Amino acid sequence: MTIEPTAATLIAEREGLNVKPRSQWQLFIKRFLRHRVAMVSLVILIAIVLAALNAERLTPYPFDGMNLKDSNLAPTVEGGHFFGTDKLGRDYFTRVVYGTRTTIFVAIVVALISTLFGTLVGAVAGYAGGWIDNALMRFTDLVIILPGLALLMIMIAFLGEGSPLQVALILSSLLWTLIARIVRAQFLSLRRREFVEAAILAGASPWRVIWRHMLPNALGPIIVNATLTISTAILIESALSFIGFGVKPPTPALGQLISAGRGSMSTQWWLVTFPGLMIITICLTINFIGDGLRDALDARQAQRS
Amino acid sequence: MTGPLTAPAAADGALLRVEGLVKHYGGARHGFATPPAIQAVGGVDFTLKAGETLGLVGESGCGKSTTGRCIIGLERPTAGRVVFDGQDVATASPRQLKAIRRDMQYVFQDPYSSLNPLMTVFSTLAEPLYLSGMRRNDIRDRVAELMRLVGLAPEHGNRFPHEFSGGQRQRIGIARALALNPKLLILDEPVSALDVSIQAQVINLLEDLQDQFGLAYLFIAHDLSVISHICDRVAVMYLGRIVEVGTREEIFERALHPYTQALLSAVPIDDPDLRGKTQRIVLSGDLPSPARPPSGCRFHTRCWKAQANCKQTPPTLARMHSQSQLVACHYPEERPLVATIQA
Amino acid sequence: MAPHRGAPLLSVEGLVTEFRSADGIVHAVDEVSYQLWPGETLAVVGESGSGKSVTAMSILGLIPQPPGRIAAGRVLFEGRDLLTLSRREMRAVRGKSIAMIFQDPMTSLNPVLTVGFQIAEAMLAHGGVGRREAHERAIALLQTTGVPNASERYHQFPHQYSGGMRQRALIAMAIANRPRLVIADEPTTALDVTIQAQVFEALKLAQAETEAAMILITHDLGLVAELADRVVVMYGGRVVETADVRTLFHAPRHPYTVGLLKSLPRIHGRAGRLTPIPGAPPSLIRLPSGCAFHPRCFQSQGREPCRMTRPGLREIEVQHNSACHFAEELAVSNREGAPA
Repeated sequence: MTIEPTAATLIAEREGLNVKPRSQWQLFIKRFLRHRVAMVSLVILIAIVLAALNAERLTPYPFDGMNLKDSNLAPTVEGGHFFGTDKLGRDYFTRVVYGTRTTIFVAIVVALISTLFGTLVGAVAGYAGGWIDNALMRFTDLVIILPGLALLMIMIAFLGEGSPLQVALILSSLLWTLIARIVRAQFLSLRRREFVEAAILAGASPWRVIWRHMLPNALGPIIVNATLTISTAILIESALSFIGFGVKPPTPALGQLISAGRGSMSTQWWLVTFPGLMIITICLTINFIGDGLRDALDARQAQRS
Repeated sequence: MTGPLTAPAAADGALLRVEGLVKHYGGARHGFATPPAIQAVGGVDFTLKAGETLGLVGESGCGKSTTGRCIIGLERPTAGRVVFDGQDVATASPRQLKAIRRDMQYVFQDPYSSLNPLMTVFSTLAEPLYLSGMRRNDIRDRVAELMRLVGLAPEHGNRFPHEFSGGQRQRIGIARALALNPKLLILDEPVSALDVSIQAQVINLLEDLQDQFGLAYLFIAHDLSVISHICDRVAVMYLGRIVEVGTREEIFERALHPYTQALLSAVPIDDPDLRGKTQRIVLSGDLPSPARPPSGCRFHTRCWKAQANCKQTPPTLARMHSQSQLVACHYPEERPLVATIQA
Repeated sequence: MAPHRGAPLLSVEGLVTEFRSADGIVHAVDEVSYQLWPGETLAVVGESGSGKSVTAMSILGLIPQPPGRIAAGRVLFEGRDLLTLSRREMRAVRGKSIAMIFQDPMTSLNPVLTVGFQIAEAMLAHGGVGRREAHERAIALLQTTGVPNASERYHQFPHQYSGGMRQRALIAMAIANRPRLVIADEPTTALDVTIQAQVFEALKLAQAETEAAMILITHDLGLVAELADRVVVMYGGRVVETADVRTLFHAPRHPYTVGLLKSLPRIHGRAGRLTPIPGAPPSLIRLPSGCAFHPRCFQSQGREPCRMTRPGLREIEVQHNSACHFAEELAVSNREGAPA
């Protein structure tokens, strides 16, 4: 019988496993800090972000400084070309570090904008219900079923000169839908919670109810999904750059570097390998952190019920 | 604090008057199919006087909680009137509702979900005061007063709900409801989530508060022993309708409706000496779905006395022996359940 | 009433079950002992956190390990110590000699199989019957427990049953293999009053049919008065009193039992103001010293033995045990202010 552990666990909890829980957020943070994989990932990610932010101090070369006599060097310690150089003699380590900076900038802006917008849409839909909910959710569905990549290409081709900020805005216009749906679901269930009804009965205005009572209680899932949106944005930005619709050269971005290097992959392996490894590392660490946050959050919710 | 006993009441002395209250859920077209509406409340009338405790008792799905929620305006009734202190709640504007809710408040069943887990007890109790425009210093004093009133130490105001036991949390919920000196509290299963030894504490607290402030209670519960302990009058609901109303003595000693009798006889008696000495009515079958309530008398599918006309004509609440006892049955009759027990 | 002669069917001896938690060790069951004789109905009464359910889970080998751990004790059932059985042997005992009924029938029924199939399967799994016989017996069992139109209901899925009917189906499944012992954990708590009455009747019929002994875990003293032969009262993971049901209700010898009986609102005859037990149930991580009940006890009033020494369960009268240092004083005070 597979149901036995469930029943047993339930009873164990009822019998006082949660006699003295500490503050909800404290518990959440404590569980997260105990998640080993997430913590290792967090350290790696912080190192990468710090490196990207301090690119100028990390490398003596400017990201577009050409030196044709040192072109196509394989990775070497000589001259500090740890990742080699490209066919224009630009230091590839510098290119990758600056590319990482661009890519992370784009991703974080996407995560912020789509989280804010998605939360707004989801919160209003979930709180108001009725036709407002219906209209907002049909609109969300519409954005979801649009062929995303094709649409992004068109928008960038027509609107964009390909600055990082512009790419980020265009990506955000499609990536807010997931968060909108998650927040709506959270709000729908919170709307039925008795403490929310009690606030309404106390005379709180809708905005006060949303802001003071519902949003703080929905923050956990929002944070988890904002985190995961960062890695989604990195992958999409890289894919767009790869097919030539992302951030325009000479500003380096990781996908664009791979795209530029793919022609000479067999002879100059480093051109594809280093930016590729960087994308993989960043996305993996973010996903592990997201898992850690989610586990910590689930535990918090299990404790609460 | 001003005594709410001096409240201007309606002409007949009723603080709350519910007339023909109906609440249906759904029934709207959904894709291609139109599911039948859930008839949660199907025409309920009663009145409640200032300072009185009226029990609303029935099994799950009988509409007792929906009735309470309609009265305070958490749900919009489909039809009918809810007149509180001379004002119709069902048609009140949001602003009027806010004013009405200063005098009428709600205590929720689940002490775990009725408090915001991220807010301290102080903030929870301060919120209604702040929203009513009270000054900061006065709020501080009033919160401390409220906490003492329900038997909590004011020093614990900076704690979070999870640091309190279930009984203490329910006290906080009661304090919140009392914040603005209401005249009526709707208590929705206020002790059913609590342990036995704690239930009595909360019941006593509710009785003390009523004595002190002359509060009226609408006490919604499924537990007949709690109802019998605290209520002056009792209304028994079955599938969205009131089948019998009367004083506590009338309902618990001279019940006339077969459903009331079955409900009373189903309660286990906590005296092993009486085992097997009472006649238990075991109703056959389950509660019918409120989406398709039976025709005529809604209880006829489970009633041992049902005749042909019970299936066709819905009985109306009619006056019996006394001025106070009303019963909705074609064949009302006393049944000596309690007599056996007292013998 | 069952005579206490011969060997007990089940004997729990010094059982200790603990759980690890973020805040420390939860002492859910703390040196619990009780016996059960064949055919007897034993009620285990207590509030949430009293350890009554964890004791049953421990007997059945259903404690999730980790975080749970059975730290000490023996559970002798028909002469065998259940705690030493392998997982496989335990499975054979469960469902055959010992059956269980949980509070929420939905967690115990598989939603994608018909109810009848699940009952028949329970019989087939433990051998001794053929497919056809299992089918017929399953229908008969559903009839016994009061499921209407049993032969049609056999082919329906759990979600087509109402809550009360699911609970009856579960009772049918529990007695399918004619167990010697049925453990029912809050079997009617989730049900409405009139449905509860139906389920009681089903339980009584099921017990009459199989002559099984029953452990009834509940917080509902009314249910205890109606069904139990003997009662074990638990508080803070410990047994505080055991007695036959009439003695327990009329002459309790532990202040907690007395308080519990006094705090109940009564449906017939209003007793004026209720007498609650002050305070709240203890934390199982940091139990009070000495007697776990002493901070809430009207009898102790801070006397030293209550604070310093943990009282053992001792025989006050024949077949009546209490874990109170001052149980004898209660005999007097009972006569003055006894409930009922």
